[in-house]
Formats: sequence, structure tokens, C-alpha cells
Amino acid sequence: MSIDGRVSIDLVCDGGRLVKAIVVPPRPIALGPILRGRPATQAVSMIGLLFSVCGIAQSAASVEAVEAALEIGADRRTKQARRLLVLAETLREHLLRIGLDTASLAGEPADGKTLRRVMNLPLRLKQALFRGGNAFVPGVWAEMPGAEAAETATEASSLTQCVVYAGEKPLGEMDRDAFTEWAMEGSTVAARLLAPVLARGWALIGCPEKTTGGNRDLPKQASADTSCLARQAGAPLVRAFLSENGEAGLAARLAARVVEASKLPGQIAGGLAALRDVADGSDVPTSKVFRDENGGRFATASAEAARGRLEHRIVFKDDRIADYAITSPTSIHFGERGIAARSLSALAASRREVLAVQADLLVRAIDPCVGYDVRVR
Amino acid sequence: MCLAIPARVVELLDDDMAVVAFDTIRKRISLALVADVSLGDFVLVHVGYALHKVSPEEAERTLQLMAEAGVLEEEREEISA
Repeated sequence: MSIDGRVSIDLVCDGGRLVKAIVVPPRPIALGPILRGRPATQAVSMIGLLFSVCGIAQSAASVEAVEAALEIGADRRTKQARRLLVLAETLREHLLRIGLDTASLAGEPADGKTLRRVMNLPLRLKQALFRGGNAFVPGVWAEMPGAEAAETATEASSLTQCVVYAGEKPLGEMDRDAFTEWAMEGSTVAARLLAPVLARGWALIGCPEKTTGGNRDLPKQASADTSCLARQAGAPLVRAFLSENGEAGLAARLAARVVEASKLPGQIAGGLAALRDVADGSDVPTSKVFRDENGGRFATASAEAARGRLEHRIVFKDDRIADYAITSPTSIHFGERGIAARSLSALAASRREVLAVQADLLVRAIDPCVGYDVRVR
Repeated sequence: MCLAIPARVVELLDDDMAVVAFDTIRKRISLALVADVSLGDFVLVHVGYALHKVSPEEAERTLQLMAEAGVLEEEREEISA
């Protein structure tokens, strides 16, 4: 376990064949002892500092849980603006992962100039929508989107067209043949990532043989998949890469990533336009608050980060935090019998170096931002 | 979890690389994702890449929080390995 929550993966081989993948998730951080006794507003800023890689999604879930616990009415425009920030962060993570994986697979340096522009997208949008960039202060109000917000959306679209896809037909509606043809043309960074995967016949690597819906013998959460594959499972292109049993291999996961990335700039631009139509002071109900007989208040909130669903739970008592917990998708996806272990166990390469490359691609296709170590033994 | 550790840039290398210092430990990382990094800047490091520049104050606050969370010592061991 490390500070950046590294996953430990052992691929156990026997006679040149993988017999087992042992996956150990990052140790969850016990937030309760750190936050206990502090005012609720401190939780949001501390969580943003601590979990900085997907800090926007973490902060969005945190501030929503805190506002619910404090019973602060959430302004509709603010809530929608925060959601757009989460989308911008998700786009950043997808583009970053695609850029770095393509470079890694080709043995070339990453395109730093483009990726540095990608890195700036969420911060630019945050500063455009919230005075001083303070998006995650409980009770704060979002600004009406102006020129800077529109320019950031245009930049998001331009970068996505460069890194992922610039065609007219929605990527998610392509069939396998058209997608393969697009990948082989290599006109974008993402196409150059997909092309060798498809050319090497790796589309279905890491595809579990079990039936759909995860392992039915496990508790639902233990085998849950909340990654972008789950979010984009309805796209015809993603469905086209599923196995006969409805399970996902490498190509289905990568297809889900590029499909989601290709749609996000449009969702951000559309969301900005919708913000302008929201009336000032238009409140939405906060998340439901539960009370116990001792005066404690419980609230939960979630956010869809690039790697999956984050769930925050706060317990608030006597104007102070009594407990706080986060359920992260990484701890579920990389659990002992989660989707990573099931997918990695299905790898079948006989050469160790190929097995290691496939494992790298598969892990990063499941979670774009987790640190991990793979050992083949 | 999505954690990145603040570290100070102590040496700038060719090809967008740098050496950062965390406590007494030094590590070679990529600066490909961050523009205009100078000697002495603090950056957030995640899986071998600097993600953002942060102020010395924010670096200090983050390290303090990580120490409270009980994960700083583990990172020290990993970086020094």
C-alpha cells in the first residue's frame, strides 16, 4: 500500500499458463478519526486536498453530503455547475489515460503539449463558473456562465477531437467493422491505441467466462462494475465488443472510454447552455437526511468519477462531524473477487512479457488513475 | 484511493523529467503534464507524473493531513524502495 493507493497484482503462472490473478486493493483510509470533531465545512476542503487526483468528484460528493447533513438548500444552478465540473474532470482523466497509454504502447514520449492543455480544463471551468474558483464551499452559488466558460467548452471539444474522435457519426453508434476501420486509419491518439489492440487479436482478452452481471455467488457490491463500461453499456459499439456471454474484454472497456470521452464535450456545452436557463434562487431538495434518537444526522451523496461511483457518507452530531466514510470504486473493482481479478484471471498469453503488457492495458482500461504493481511469477 | 503526494523539485532534467525530493528521499518523475515548473516548486506527484504545481503552504497542509491519515510513512518506504 502506498500513499497513492497502489493496487498489488500477482499473476501466478504454471507451465507458461496463467492459473490465478491475486489482486490486493489499496488499504482504505479511515477518514472518521481525522475528521471527527471538526466542523462539517472543513471536511470538504480536507477531502479535496487529500484526494487530489479526482479531487473534483470527491469534493462534489463531499459538499453535497455536507449540505444535506446541514440541511442547506442547494441552488439548482450550483448543483448543475458542480456536475459539469465533474464531467470536465472525467474528460481530463480519459484523455490523459488515452494519451499516456498510446505513448506507452508505442514506446514513444507522450504529447506533453496537448496533455498539458487537457490538465487545465477542470480548473479553467471551475474558475469560470465560481467566483474565486470556490465551487465546493457549502451554500456557495454558481455564476452565470460567460465567455470563459464557453471558451473552455470549445477547448474541451477541440482537444477531444484531436485525442479521440473528430467524425460526424457518433462513435458509440459505429459497428465493429467501421470502428476497426477508423482505428486502423490512426487519425487520432485514441485510434492509435485501439489499432494495435485490435490488430493483435486482443479485443476479448480479459473477458471472464462467467455469465453476465458478475458472479452471482458474491454480494452485489463485491462484483459491481461502476466504471465507464457500466455507464456506456447501452452504446451499440460497446455492446458489439461484448462476448457471447455479455462479458467485457479489453476492447469493450477501451471502446466505452472513447465513447464516453467523445460525448463529454457535448454534454459540457449543453450543460452550460442549460445553466443560463435556470432561474436565480431555484432550489433543489438536498439528499435525504436520516436522524437517530441521539440527535445524530446521516447523509450520503455520490459522484460519478472517471473510474466509477464515489459514495460519501457523513454522520453529523452537535454541529460537528461524528463520522465520515468514502466507498471508492477502486476498492470494489480491485477487491479480491472484483472485476479486475476476474478479468486478469482470464488472460491467456503464454509469454510473460506479453502477459505483463496485457495486464497493464487491462488494469488501466478498468481504472484510468490508479497506481498499481504487476508481478508475473 | 486518488492520492498524490506533494514533493519539491530539486533538479530539472532533459525530456521533461525532474528529480523531486520528499523528505530525505529523491525520485525521478515526468513533468510532461505540467508547464513552467522551476527549481524549488512543489508539485503533486502521482504514479510517476507531476500533476499540478501547488503552493508551499498547500503542500505543507496536504502532508500534514496525510500524516494524520497515517499513510505518509508507507509512502516514504515505497519511494525509498
